[in-house]
Amino acid sequence: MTPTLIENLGQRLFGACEEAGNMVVLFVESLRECGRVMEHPHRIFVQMKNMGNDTLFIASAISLFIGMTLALYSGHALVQFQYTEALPSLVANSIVKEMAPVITALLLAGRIGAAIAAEIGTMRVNEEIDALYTLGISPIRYLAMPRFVGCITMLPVLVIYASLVGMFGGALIASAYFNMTWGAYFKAAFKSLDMSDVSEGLLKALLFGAIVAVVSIHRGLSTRGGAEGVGRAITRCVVTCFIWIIVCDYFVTRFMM
Amino acid sequence: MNEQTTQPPAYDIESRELRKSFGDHEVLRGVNLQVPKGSTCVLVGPSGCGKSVFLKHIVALLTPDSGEMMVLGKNIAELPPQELLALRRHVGMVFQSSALLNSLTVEENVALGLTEFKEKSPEEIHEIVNEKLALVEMADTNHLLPEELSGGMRKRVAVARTLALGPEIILFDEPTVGLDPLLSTNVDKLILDLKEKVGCTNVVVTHDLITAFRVADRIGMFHDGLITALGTPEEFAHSKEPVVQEFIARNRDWKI
Repeated sequence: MTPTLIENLGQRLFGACEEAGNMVVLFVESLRECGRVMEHPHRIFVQMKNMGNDTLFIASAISLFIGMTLALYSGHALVQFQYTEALPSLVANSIVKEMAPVITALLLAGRIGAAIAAEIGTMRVNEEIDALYTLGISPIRYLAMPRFVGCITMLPVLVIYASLVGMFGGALIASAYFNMTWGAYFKAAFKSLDMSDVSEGLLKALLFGAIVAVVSIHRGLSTRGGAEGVGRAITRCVVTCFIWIIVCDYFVTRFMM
Repeated sequence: MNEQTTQPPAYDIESRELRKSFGDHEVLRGVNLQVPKGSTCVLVGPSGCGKSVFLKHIVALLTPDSGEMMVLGKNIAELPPQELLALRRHVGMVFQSSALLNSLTVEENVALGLTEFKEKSPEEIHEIVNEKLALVEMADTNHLLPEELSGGMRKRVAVARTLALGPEIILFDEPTVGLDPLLSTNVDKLILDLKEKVGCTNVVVTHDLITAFRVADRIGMFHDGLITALGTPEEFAHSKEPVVQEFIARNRDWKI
C-alpha cells in the first residue's frame, strides 16, 4: 500500500527527530571522551595540523577578498554621507562578529567536514568501524573525539586569523580608494572592537566547530550502501552543516545583542 | 544466578531462540546453537540465509529482537557498554573484507587493540606483533600498508590482529571468499593450525563446503533463518535433510 502524504511527512519528521537525538548523543559522548584527550595526544595534533593546513590558504584568500569587498561597498556608501572615518569600524565589526566565523565555518564544513564524512563513511562500509568494536575500541574515542577536539580548537584559531586577514583586506581598499593611512585605519578598527565583539566571534567559532564535527562524524558513522552511500553522506553532511551554521548564527547574534 | 558466576559456562557460545528482523524481513527465526569450548563449528548455507547476521550477534555488533545470546557465560544483550567492550576483547572476529584500517601499517593494525589500552610497553607490543605475524606466516611485513597486500595476506594480518589480544573465541566470516583455491587451502590450514596452537573456540561462516569439511568439528546448515541440520562432518554428509542434500549436491556439481 502506498503511504499517504501525512504518513510520509510523519515518517520524515520521526526520522529527523531520531537523527537530531543521535547527534545530541554523539555530542555528549564526544564531550565525555574529551577527558581522555591526553591519552593519545598525537591523534589530536594530527587532526589539528590537517585542519589548519587544509584550510589556511583558502581562508586567507576568501577573508582577504571579503574584507576588500566589504570596504569597497561600505566606503562608497559612507562617502555619500561624508563619513568615511567610520569605515574601519564597520569593516572590523562585520568581519570579527559575522563574516569571519560564518565564512570560515562554511569553509571548514566544505573542506574538513566533507573529508571527515568521507573517511569515516568509507571505514563504515569497509567494516573497519565494526572491526574497531570487535577489538574493544570505542569508535567515539578513537575516531570522533580527536576530530571533535580538532574542530573546536582550530576553528577559533582560524577565525582570529581570518579576521586579521579580512581587516587587512579592508585596509588595502581604504588606503587605495578612500585616502586613509594604514596606521589610522588599524587604530580606528581596533578601537572600535571591545572584548564582547571578539567573544561573540569566538563563541560562534566554538559552536560552529562543534556543529561541523558532530554532523560530519554522525553522517560518516551512519553511512550505508557502499561507494554511493559515501557520496550521499558527504553531500548530506555539507548541506546539513551549512543549514545549521546559518540558523545558529542568527540565534547567537540575536542572543548577544 | 550464583551458579552462573561461580561455575564455568558449559558452552563458550550458546544462543537460545534467537530472533532478528530487519523491517518486515525476519532473518533469524529462533536459532538455537551451542558451541563447546575449544571446538570449531562451521555454519554453511546459501547467501542471505542469516549466517553473517548470526555471527554479528556473537560479537554484539547486532542485538537480538528476542531470545538470548550467551557468550562466555554472559548474556550480551544485558551487558552495559563498558562491559560489552571488555567482553569483545575476548571475542575476535576476522571479517569477510579483512577490515584492516587502510591508513595504518601492518604493525599498527596488529598492535591496534594493544596500543589503545596502554597495558603493555611499546617493546612488549612490538614483540607480540612479531610473534603473531610469524604465527600466520607474515613475518617482516610490519611496515607494509594493507593496499600493498594480496587478499590472502590481508586475511592473515586480520587473523594476527585478532590473535594479538589473546581471544578465547575467534569468528571467521567467509574466510575463503574471493580467494583462489591455493590461498583458500592456506586459510583452511591456518584455521586448523590456530586450533592446534592457540586452542581457542572457532566459529566459521562459509558457503564453501571444502573449507567446512576440512576445519569443522561440527557443521550446521543455515536455512530460512534456522539451523536445520547440525552434526559432525560425517553426520552432516549423510544427513537426510533435503536442503543439506541439495546444498552438497550443488557444491559437488559445481566442483565438477
